[in-house]
Amino acid sequence: MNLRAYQNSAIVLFFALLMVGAMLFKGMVSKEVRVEREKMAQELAQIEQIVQLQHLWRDKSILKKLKRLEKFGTASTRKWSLRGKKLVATYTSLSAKSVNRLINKILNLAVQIERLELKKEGEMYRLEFVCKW
Amino acid sequence: MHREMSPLNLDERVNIVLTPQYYTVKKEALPVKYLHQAKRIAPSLFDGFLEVDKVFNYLVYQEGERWVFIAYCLADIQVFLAEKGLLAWTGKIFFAEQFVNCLKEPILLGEKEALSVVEGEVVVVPKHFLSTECSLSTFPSCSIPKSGVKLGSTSNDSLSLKQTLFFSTLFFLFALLFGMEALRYKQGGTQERERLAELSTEYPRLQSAIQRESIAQKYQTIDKQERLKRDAIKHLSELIFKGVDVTFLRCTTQSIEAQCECKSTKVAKRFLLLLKNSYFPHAHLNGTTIQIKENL
Repeated sequence: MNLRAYQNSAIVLFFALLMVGAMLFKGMVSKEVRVEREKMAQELAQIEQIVQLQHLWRDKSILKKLKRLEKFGTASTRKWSLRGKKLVATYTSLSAKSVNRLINKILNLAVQIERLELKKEGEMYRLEFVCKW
Repeated sequence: MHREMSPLNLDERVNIVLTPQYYTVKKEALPVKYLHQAKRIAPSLFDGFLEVDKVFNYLVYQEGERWVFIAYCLADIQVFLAEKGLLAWTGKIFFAEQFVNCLKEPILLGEKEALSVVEGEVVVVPKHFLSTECSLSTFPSCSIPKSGVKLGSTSNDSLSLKQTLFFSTLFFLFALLFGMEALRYKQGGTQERERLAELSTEYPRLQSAIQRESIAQKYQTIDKQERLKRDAIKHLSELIFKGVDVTFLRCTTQSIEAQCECKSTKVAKRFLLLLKNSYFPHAHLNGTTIQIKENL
């Protein structure tokens, strides 16, 4: 077959193939980019979630916030033991109102509650609180 | 242009007329209506008439009721034109057959041959075959036929030069468009990449996927457990109403336990119902005392 005799068709075929090639290339790139973006978005979401969680559960100002609990009640009704990153606190002779306030404060602190124990002794309450961070 | 002519020296583009030495003619009355249909069947009409080792092109046009098919070998014509020094100066090529109605008198071709019309077809005949003395030695002035052959555009192709240009341009533009779009895709996602790079610099420990996974797991577990504890205590405190007194509460990582004293059995039953419909389905009543124990 003489190619020259079909040169017009050959030229058109070449450009058609070029177009198909470009289309396939575009499809490939689009798929590649989509996969990469999905992966990146997933990675970003994970990192952002970790950062948020770390910010919440590894709050650097938590000690300062915890120390406010030390002022709760009087020295005679309070036993306070802070060792490293662990706190053991016991409050006695607390009124129902004070208990509510104290529990609310504790629950709003970003610490890991190991034990929170409340016991009614007569008309007053005794609260034991163990946490770490 | 005929085989015996001497080379020419031209300085401008000319149209040329070829003698039957360079083409084969067939005239047929065929039941076809359109030129493209006639062009399609042209090769089959010359089956067995043409040399098999050469590539032939076809010029087709209508002459009255009949279709005229002219088969020519472009390569041979090009060689001939090159020999005569005309290849660079050739505009359109016509065939003597296209001027059949113009040739009233024979035309002298060199010393021995002449171009004449015999039985409605233009042929080359020996000069001595002519009955009268040749009166013409030049080509008569006639109108130029519509169809001719342009060097470089001739082929058996079903595509004309115009169509080729149109489709090639169209496909090229599409290819360009797709290419540009692909590049645009590639350049996308820079915002995410920058943010990711920024976070990676700020938190180098989070660069490794395994480490990230382990840190995420650790904090997700803490977050889940602590929220559960707080939710359980908050739910219980929300359910308590006047007449219900919490006498004991213990919340650990594993469970939440509570004991509540109620003012009366009626209050206790109401409180139990509330507990069972919410967070504490395993609560049970013992007189006016309600025991709660749920695993976290």
